[in-house]
Amino acid sequence: MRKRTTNENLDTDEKPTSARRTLLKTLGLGVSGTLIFSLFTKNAQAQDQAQQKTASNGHTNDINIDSSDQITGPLQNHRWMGWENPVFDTNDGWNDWKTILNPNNLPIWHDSFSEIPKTHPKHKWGMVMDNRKCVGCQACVVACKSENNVPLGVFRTIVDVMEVGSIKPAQNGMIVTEEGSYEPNVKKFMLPRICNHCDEPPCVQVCPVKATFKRQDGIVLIDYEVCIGCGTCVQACPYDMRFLNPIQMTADKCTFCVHRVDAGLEPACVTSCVGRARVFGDLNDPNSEVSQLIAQFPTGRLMISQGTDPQVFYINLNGNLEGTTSIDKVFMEFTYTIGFNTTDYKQLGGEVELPTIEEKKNPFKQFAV
Amino acid sequence: MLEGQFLETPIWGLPIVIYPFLSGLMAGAFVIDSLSHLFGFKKFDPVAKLAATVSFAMVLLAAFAPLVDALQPSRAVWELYVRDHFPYSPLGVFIVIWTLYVILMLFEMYFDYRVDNVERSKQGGLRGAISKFLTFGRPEVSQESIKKDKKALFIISAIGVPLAFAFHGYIGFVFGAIKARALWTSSVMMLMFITSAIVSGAATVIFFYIIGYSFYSKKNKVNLETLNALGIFTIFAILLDLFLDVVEKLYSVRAYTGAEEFHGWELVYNWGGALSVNYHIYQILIGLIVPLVFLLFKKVRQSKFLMLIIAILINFGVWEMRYDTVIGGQLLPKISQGTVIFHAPWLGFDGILSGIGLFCLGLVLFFVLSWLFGWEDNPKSQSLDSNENK
Repeated sequence: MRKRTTNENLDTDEKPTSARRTLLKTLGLGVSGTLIFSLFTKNAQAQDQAQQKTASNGHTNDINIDSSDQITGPLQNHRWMGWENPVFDTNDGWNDWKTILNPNNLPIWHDSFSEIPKTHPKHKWGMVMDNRKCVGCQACVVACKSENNVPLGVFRTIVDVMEVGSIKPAQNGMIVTEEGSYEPNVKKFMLPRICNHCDEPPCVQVCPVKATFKRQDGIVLIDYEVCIGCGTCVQACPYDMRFLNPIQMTADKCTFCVHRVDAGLEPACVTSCVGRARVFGDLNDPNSEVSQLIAQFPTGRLMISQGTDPQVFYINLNGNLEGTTSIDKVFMEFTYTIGFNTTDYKQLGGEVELPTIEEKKNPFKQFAV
Repeated sequence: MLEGQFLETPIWGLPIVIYPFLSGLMAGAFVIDSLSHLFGFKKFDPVAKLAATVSFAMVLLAAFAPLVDALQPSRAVWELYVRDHFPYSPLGVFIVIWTLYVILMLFEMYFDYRVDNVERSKQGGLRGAISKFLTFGRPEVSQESIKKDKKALFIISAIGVPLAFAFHGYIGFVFGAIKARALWTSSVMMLMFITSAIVSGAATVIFFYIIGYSFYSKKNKVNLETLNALGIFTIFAILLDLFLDVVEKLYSVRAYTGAEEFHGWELVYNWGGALSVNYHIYQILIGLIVPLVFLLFKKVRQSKFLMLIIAILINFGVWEMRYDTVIGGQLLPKISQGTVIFHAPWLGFDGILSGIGLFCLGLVLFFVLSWLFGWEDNPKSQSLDSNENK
């Protein structure tokens, strides 16, 4: 008897709620169907992330490769490939992300950056890239990726390899093709790119929710728990050094390894540089290595015409590389920025089908002057 | 879009193309509305309510598009109000102007439809009950109260026209303020967005005016004089738009502009570029010049069928303008070489299907508002229509 009554009670209790639920469901589907649909991928991604987290918490990051060559386990998530979320996984030492961003509670600015020098900051961090020493080994790129858990497909720092000069048709040239011989008058340049931590950062001022800020010591940072991912800052960066992190679903950028700098260490890319081409230091201290290098050598900066006042200085910077590069003068040889998403990658033969037959026959057409 | 992204990627996809298009319809429709209320052109009286309804529907929808594109939409609504970077951020201005505009449109809709709602509340039924609620306890239909309404509408329009211009002008500013994109950073951008908004708003009002009064109205018919006046207004708007296009083109010549902008035009818009057909054929020829040539004839302006086609052509051209501006600006890489390839996916938050969904949501909003207020069947019209129908 008891069972029956409880069952009946349960039934009577459940019926109206379930009916209400279905009504709500249908209403919700009807009204915001399109929106849900549009957000579908984001939800799927969040679910993936959640699954990832449960998998990673148990420390079962083993990769199981079946006999059928199907990858199972964390690698199934092609977006993250088994790496843990650097921000929100508290098991990985990232207990309080906000403390990592600004442990000493330095004042921060969202606009009116000209007032920062008036506060007499103790430090002003900057970097010198010695292009004479860079060999393009990409060790800094790898170090940054492993230090900051940067997801696949996006980079906080890159090293472009370019050829400057032209290949001209000449008799008895070094390069011999069916159409004749060419003489290369070119020089190879490596251009390490990083967030310039500009003194007048256009990316900070355009943020609609004050998620990104410039610290008193000059480091431009993003609060990942506030960022809405609108992408305006990514558009506003003239150096293309901001990106949308596909895991966090926020904007992301180089932080000068702020967690290391605050602990008295140098950024990961600097420590890993084989030729000491990257030098990090305090621009306010006249005896620091960066200040000495800037004082002793002629330096250049990227895209000064944009009025951003970048704080990364280049020794031996070719003038052709300072701004956007023209294909007539500079030939991007091994670059991340060219990606697989530009027409020029296709021109290099990145796709099976080349755009036109002419270019196939005459691979050095673009260098001919 | 985020999957497999590389550094040079058009991160603003279709939702950001739809956003200026929809808010352009909103601003343009409000200008048509103000022609009747603020400037007192009697010929535009029949379309005033329709224009206000279009404007209201589009302003409600306009907020959805950037939210769809934002990767954290759940945060965005809260933080845009609480942590708004006003007035430093161009996008931060959005939520302020949008909120003000929605409040203004609520007043506009109330005063615009109050007399109609009083009439309809006598009919009874669900529509009558809603109409009775929407009068908010002011059931007078005396001449004095109508005069009061008109005075209120005059004031609302006087505030609303600058606000509508600001709404759409700032969207131009969102693009124009980004100096890293050579094809966006331009002082003409704001003006171009406003003029093309007026063009598209007029075309949309023409479209719904013909469709609504021809097929859905029992009492009113399409007034050819009004159609003619709308056509003439559109001619001037198109001429202004073409003038600004010529100005922009002049400043894209190699001798007169910087390297980035010139290379951008060469790679994207000029003949042989990535969007050359979109720009020259769709946006300029089909969207502006062909409608302009046809609108010059009075017979065309008074033909319902031809005006319908012209309205569709104009809106197509304005859509292409938004597409060429938003996508075209991102096809020019910042630090790389060549042009970036844009590929709009079918699925996903910035896919084609979600874009279609946004437009469908707009139509649904417009029809719901039309059903609620019924611009096509004025119960007792004071407009030109009813005077002639006598």
